[in-house]
Amino acid sequence: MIAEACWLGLALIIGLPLTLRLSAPPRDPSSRVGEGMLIGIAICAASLAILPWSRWIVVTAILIIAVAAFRPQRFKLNPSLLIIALLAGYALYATLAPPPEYDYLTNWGFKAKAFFEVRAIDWQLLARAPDSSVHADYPLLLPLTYDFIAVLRNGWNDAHLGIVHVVFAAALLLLIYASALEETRAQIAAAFIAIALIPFAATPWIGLAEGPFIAYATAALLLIRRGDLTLGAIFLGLAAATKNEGLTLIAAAAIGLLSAGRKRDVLRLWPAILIPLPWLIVRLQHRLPTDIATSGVIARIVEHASHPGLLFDALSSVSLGKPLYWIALAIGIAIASRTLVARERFILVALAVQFACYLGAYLATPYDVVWHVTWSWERLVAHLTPALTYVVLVALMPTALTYPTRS
Amino acid sequence: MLQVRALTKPGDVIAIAAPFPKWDKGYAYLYTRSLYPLTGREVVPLLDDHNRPRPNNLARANVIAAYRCEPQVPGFAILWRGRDGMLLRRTR
Repeated sequence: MIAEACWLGLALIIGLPLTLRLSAPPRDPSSRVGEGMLIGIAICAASLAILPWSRWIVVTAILIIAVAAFRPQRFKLNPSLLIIALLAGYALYATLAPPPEYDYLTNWGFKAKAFFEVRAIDWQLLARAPDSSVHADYPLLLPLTYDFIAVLRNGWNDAHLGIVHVVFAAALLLLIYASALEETRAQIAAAFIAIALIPFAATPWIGLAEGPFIAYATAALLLIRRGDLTLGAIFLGLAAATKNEGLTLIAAAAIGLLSAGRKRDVLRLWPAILIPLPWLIVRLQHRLPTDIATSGVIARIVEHASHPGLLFDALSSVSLGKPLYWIALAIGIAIASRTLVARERFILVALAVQFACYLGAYLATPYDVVWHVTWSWERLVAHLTPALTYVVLVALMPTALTYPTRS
Repeated sequence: MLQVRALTKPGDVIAIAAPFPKWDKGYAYLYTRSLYPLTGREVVPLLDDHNRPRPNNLARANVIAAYRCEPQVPGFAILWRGRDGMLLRRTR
């Protein structure tokens, strides 16, 4: 697992100083480790889009950028980092075997492995996608992350690739802890919130983009919510560079800001559009097909909307699991409803818009609706629950933070 | 599949043969699962998703990976035989 450890080290070395430059104050380095990991992972992946796939070239480039971004700061080890020790069991689960998920073998992992064979993004392969399950139009941050580790190792080995998902979960939990601590000013409350969110950050879908997407999307929403627009918008863009659902999340976040009366902040989301833009342009140039957008979208929406019972039956037939969680969440929302409506309009509206987009995708699907819902509904709901759970838990606790006001 | 990978090289066009007459009744799963272990090669199906044969893919293939069947295809010779299948390579 030396290559994976080097990857994490490089991600932190480059991510932390950049995060401290980009993030709004207070800039306590130890509370920015989570953000640093998320930024660093993305930069490592992006380096493969522009540099030759050679171990020494990418390592040298990362170190040069890290040195350029570095500014001496006091970094004391924060005991909150111990929270990630609670992910030990998840780390065992994630690395027990190579990622076994079907979508890893036909999409995320397949593309990464195929790219590594030719030491480049294989546009020919994407153009003649051997099967629709390859999803040539999906963004490449996760496959390139797998490839970065392979480049460091100078060989493909998927035995421990699940560690990528542990790192994303750890980064999100550290970010959640730091955010909760700043809001509640109570270590016990912050630790409780972070621990409560472990099952949502540590997704069971090893190898798929759900975990990384949840990390970037939740980080983005929480940072934008509290006014850290630059870093929040970057994470929003990285969510869109991880899964296509991130594109609708940009619109959802903008609508959320508008509904919260933060009109000026909408313009500050520009990095969120800039980050996925190159991929969208190249995707268009190579005419990579998007299944939801295949011809006849309007006709499919009209057809499916005229028989809504089919969709509702499908949605109700798929178990989301965690019945105690849903009961607790409903009780929490009921208790904190006034606080949530007064203070959390941005996140609630953004999540509602994103949820509506997911339902819209089911209406536009070219596949059998029941099949599509069966194989994606639980994962899509999992995109939204961490941010929702966070704001409900924070709303149930006395806070010490001033929230962004209307602009 | 690991043996198929070991006996083929990047650039080979590998057709997947299997005793499944329908795309949704086993063939699609076998075909899509073969993509990951056979990266670098072009893996092509011999059925489409409407269960129609794809002779054009057979014509392009220089290798046939046969799962639990023993196809006899003119112009192909057996290269390797294992417990769950065999590999045929084009001879002409």
